[in-house]
Amino acid sequence: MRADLDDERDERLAAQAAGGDRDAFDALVTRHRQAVYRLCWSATGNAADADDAAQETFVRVYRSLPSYDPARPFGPWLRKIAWNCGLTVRRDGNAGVPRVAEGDAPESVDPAPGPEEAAAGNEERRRVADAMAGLPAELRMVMVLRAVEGLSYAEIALAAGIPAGTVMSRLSRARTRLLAALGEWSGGGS
Amino acid sequence: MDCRETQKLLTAFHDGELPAADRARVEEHLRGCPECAARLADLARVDQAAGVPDPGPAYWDRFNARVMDRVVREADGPRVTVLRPKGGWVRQQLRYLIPAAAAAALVLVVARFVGMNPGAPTPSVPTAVSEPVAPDLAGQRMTKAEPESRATEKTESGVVARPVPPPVLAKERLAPVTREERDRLADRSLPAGHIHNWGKGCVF
Repeated sequence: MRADLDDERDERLAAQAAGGDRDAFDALVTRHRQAVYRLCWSATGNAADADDAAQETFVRVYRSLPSYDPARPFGPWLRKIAWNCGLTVRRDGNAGVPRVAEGDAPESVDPAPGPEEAAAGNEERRRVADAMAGLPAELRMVMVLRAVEGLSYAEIALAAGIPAGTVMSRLSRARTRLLAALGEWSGGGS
Repeated sequence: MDCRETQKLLTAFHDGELPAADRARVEEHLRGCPECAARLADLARVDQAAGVPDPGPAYWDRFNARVMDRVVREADGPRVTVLRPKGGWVRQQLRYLIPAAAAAALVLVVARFVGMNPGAPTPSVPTAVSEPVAPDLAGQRMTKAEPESRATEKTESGVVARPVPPPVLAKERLAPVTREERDRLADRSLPAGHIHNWGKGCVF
């Protein structure tokens, strides 16, 4: 990736990419791929489908760049495409979405964050990861956008197309369910 | 502010989304309420544990190249073909099998109905009398009725070139039939053009 693109705003990169600058598009992919993947994971609930959806997201972004208005923020536009791709992959069982070769699929996921984590912490993390995968997609989405991406309620509302009050209620429900999963594991409620 | 009201606002408080006035009230309550403070700690705990499993550095090393590969392929040609439809395979097969099975069942039912229905049109003697099929000595037309077929075979083999007499009604079979009556019936059953052939080429 070209160093001069590092500090460019997303909207400027998108405009350059729309003009055929593939380095600019590559910079956008690098900058947003992890957030897109996490959002797709929140829509699909598993790594393989998240990968399919993330790849499809950037292909659709590239295809749609000519119609993108650089006066509008790039992030919400991208997140909307990613979320829709995730839902499409989940709903259609990948029908119509080019499937990645097996070798490109994400590696098996180990939620253990590192050796410094205590065994109890790892178990808690695993329990929450399982509970996250079991959440309804709309709850998982707000949870990921808030707890992982750190978006504000307004930004989540924009991405999800729901009122900010709904964002808060969904977050509350998601956390209650996750805490219940942790409570069942520890043998008590919170 | 009591615990109930505090816990309603706790999610927004935790996320930093409360207006300043409400935030101050919640903070004041938390200072004197260990239960609500524990609930707030739970929110932080679950957020910390909640995460999306990262697929690993090797995955990210290939990610951009895979995207660009697809972008280039789409720019150069038609869209990438679907390599492995997942999950809904059985459903996709049933989408075609169910209509095919229904069509087959319908054909069977119709065939069985036609075969068993006494009212269905079937070849009958009177019909054969009114419209008998004459043997086609030139081989231009094959008939379905068995006697005619046999007659044609004989004709083609050159053994006998004799037309099959038209079927006779059961009533007529019981009554004595004169030669004139039989000839009249035969003439009525034949197309005009065949009479001369019979007269010239056939031996009665």
